[in-house]
Amino acid sequence: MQPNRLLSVLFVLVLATGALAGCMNQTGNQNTGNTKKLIVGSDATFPPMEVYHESNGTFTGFDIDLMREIARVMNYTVEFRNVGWDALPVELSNGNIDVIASSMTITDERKADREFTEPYYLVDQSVMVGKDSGITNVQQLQGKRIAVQGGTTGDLYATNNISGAQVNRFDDYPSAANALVTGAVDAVIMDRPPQVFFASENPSVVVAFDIDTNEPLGFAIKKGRLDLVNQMNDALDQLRADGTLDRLRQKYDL
Amino acid sequence: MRRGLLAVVAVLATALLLASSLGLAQGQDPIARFNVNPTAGGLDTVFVANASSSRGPAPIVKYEWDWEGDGTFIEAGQEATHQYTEEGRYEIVLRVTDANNRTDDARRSVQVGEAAAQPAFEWDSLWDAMPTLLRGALITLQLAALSILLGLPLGILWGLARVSHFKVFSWPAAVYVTVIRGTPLLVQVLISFLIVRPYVNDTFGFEWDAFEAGLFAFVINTSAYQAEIIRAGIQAIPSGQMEAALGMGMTYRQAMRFVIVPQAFRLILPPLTNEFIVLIKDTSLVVAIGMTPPELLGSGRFIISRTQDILEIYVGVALVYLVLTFTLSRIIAHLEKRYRIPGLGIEAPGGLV
Amino acid sequence: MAPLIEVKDLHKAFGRNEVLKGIDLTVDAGEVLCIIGPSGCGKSTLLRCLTRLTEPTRGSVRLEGTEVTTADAKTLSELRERFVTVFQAFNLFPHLTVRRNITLPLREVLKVPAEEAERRAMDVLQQVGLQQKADAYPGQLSGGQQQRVAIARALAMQPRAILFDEPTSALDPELTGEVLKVMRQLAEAGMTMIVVTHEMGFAREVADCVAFMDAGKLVEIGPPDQVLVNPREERTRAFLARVLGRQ
Repeated sequence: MQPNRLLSVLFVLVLATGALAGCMNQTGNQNTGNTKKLIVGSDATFPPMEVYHESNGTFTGFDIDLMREIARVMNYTVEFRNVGWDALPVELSNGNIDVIASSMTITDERKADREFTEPYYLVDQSVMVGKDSGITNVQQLQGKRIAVQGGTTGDLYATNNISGAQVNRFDDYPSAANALVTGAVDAVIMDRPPQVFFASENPSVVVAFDIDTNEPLGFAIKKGRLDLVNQMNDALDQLRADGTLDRLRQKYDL
Repeated sequence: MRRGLLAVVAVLATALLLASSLGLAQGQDPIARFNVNPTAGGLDTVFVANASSSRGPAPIVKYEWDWEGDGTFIEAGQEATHQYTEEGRYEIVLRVTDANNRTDDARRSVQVGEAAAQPAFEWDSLWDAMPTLLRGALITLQLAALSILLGLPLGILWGLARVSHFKVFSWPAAVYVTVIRGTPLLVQVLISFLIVRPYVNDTFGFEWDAFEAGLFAFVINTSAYQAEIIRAGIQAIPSGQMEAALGMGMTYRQAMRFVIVPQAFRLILPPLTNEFIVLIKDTSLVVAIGMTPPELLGSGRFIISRTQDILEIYVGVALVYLVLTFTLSRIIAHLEKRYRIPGLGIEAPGGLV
Repeated sequence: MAPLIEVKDLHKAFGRNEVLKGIDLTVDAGEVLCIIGPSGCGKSTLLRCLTRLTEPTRGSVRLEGTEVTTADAKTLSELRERFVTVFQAFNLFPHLTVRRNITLPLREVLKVPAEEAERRAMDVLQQVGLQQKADAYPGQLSGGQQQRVAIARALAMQPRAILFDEPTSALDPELTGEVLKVMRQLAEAGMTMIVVTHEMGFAREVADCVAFMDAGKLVEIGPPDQVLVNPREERTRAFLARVLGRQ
């Protein structure tokens, strides 16, 4: 084949491969209303609320179990997907996932681009520090280096409420917590349950005190899908009434 | 006797049950619940709300509905209907009151008419974010400039070692360059932060945090690339140049100073400045180690965490990077043109980056 | 009078490949010696060994009585100031102007003061006919012009001898003339020159002595009329037949 011909064939091949790859990506969008399945996205690096186990590909945690129960009540099957925290809203709005179950606090900014179920749990922020740090209250955090997971309410709290704080934003909670263990920061601010869990496995750090933010956690759903919101709210009601919610809370020490 | 006992137990149990539920009833609110059908419609849709799932220990005596979500309740039955006169999204509130005068609210939303389209691109958000992004860009430039400046002497050393005739220099240099250029910069940044930083802090008593760790990784990385650039520059100079210089009685040092190094410098400068531009983009990797104060990308992500304007901010971040790199390459091209020597090509030998 | 350049039993081997197999040679002051021979015969290597641009393996080279092979760095530099080489690839310094190409060695090696260096530079440029190109860069000149500048650069050093290593081999045929003309002028002015070349016409007309080399040995040496017109050696004859037959 002449060189020019060969080049054009190669060019077309490359384009075609790209187009094919793009198509295959779209099949992730397949969850239409006909198949009764819920695809749930979660930043599953967050025990005890949501964890993804690499070794056997399973999900466990409070949010996970609660979603399973909701799906059961609604008579849906459920599939979980591990998605980075930052990517969750995008995946929700382009339909790759139906629900975000990721300890997501209901805030007005977030309500602008997604629906929320009614709150299923209330959390406070907590402050984790090195065990010999001597930090016992919020005032002592001024000017300190604080690790947070970027984009969480812990991040917002540290940024807006602690004067002089040097806020180190990490992509996920384990990196932020690890920064404390290796001494790169003085404190970590995050929802209480995962911090308690982390501190229980890392004797060099402790949860020093809580910050009473009383944040409502909700499941997020694509904006406009009010039917699904109502269905899930009904299911939540039922699980409250029949004691399942309490049972799960006890199971996870919440 | 047994039947009597049974009866007593039964009565007692029922009484206990009644009493306890009454006792409970004394202290518990009713639970408001309702369904609304449909959840979306138009101005001609009759929305039907049904509160039969509301319950309480005491019977519910009153159902009040706030269809507009503006606080004005209208009393109606367990089932109520409404038609809207204006399009929009409404949050319907149901308030139930039970026999003990305790109340509870429940909320459901409906959409009347087309949902307000999400604005495709909010330029305002981009514009408002600019001051923060530009502050971050300043940090980016500082980080890149520091890395290049510190990396240059190191790169020169490694580069000269690479071309050395002594294996004791050239071999370690070759290993260094191969390893650093053969592993992802992100991995190097993480290793610097997670392993090098604690080690250096413990052993030498430094107080490195994410900034120093990031800088360290960038300096090491750029010095390896610069070493290769310098090596190629020196080797690109024809051997005849050194011969001519020596052949006229110049010493080796004179030859290097007047003939070799000036030419090498001209050959090295374009790829070196290119490396600076690449470094500007590479500094974005410090978001993996949570550096503060944040550089350009980190500033963008910080804004997103507050405003959720994902699209607008990332576009803004990319734009600022583009402005930085484009401006720099224009300045460099202008300088190269200005100091160009007629007839002497100053293209860099081969793509090294 | 002692010869300016004396070569005795010069050997050069690259690894196991012996390129010079014992060369004996003398050149007197004012003499023009042309060295001819087939490719690979070692003529360029011989020239380069004279100033140790290539290190001889064995043998002796004396320049103006000083032994080159054992000279220390300082002595070697000084010898090279007086026995300058002009290369096939010109080897001008491309980042410097023509003027600066010439004044740089004058100022740095010979320690000539600035004014004198400038004067000498313009002088030699005039000699080679390129004074108007003093402020041009080598990249702006043709091959012939560049080689003439290289000759001027060598001349400015006021050397005892100039060694030419195939000075016109890299030039387009129409440009060789201008360079050969300059070289002829130099010869007529009495410069001692050793010229490794393929230009038989030049050798015939300008050389005082022609040496024919083949496979690392000096096969025949003598006046041009002898070596080029009526060679004694069969190999010389055969070489000339090939080369001249082509010309």
